[in-house]
Amino acid sequence: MSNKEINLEISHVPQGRLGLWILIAGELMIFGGLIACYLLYRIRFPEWANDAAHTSTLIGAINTIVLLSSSFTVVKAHEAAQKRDYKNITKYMTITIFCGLLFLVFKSIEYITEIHEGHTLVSSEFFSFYFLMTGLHGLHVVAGMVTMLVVMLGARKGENLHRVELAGMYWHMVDLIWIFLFPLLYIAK
Amino acid sequence: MENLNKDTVVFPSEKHDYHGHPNYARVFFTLLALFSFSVLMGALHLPTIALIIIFGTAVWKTVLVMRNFMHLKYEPFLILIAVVAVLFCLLAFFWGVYPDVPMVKLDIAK
Repeated sequence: MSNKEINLEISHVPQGRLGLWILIAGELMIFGGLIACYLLYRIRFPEWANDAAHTSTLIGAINTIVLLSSSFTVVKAHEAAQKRDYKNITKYMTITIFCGLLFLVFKSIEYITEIHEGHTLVSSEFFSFYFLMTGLHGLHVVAGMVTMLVVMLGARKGENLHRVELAGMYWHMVDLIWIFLFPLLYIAK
Repeated sequence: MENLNKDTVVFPSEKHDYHGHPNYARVFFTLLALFSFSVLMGALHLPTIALIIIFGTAVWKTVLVMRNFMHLKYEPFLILIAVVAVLFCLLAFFWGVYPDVPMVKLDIAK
């Protein structure tokens, strides 16, 4: 059998990973649709730039670094899982969860500042999109943290180690969405 | 299918370890460099060029994360097709709706 034939064959892909790719494809449709709508309106209404000027690029940048770092720690956890290195699995997954928590803390500070300045979900079209997209993303961060915690509790005892990679894949998807939200909402002003 | 059910709870196994491991640290530092570059471009106030570069680096970062961190480069070609199909649907949606956008009344943008 040639390499090309093996690449087209998916029966060797574990069910969990296949299912996760389907989940990721669905999530990309949800966020992709939102981003596409935002772009369409943003092109139509350049005056939204006035509202976009109020978002904090500094906090957005810190959160990007936090999420990128957490993506790195979660692949290190996966690497540790393959070596059955339980200590490092726990260490790297704990750091990942902490990064998720840090992301949410910075996001909360940002929300509080914006709401105090009078920017709410209904104050303008831009902020409707802003709160919807970042809020939905934040919920995914929470879901990722809970998943990570559950997987970590099992993995530290050597149970279901393959789930470390699956939880990591979900976490990378959360990171990917932020990679697009950051330039859209914080840089392109 | 029976074999898959049996093996999904066993790890590491040949089934789960069919992919390799790239140099994660190098990918991570490349991502950080690309991120810094896009932030710098945003500070330059060169609207069109900066936007193209910023979104270009975002796409580059996405490819790096998907290929290396999510191990897409080790996955079968059919999975790549599924991901590309999603992007194609999104592009079709964008270009399908785009002609209607100029008809949206200006007063909805407060």
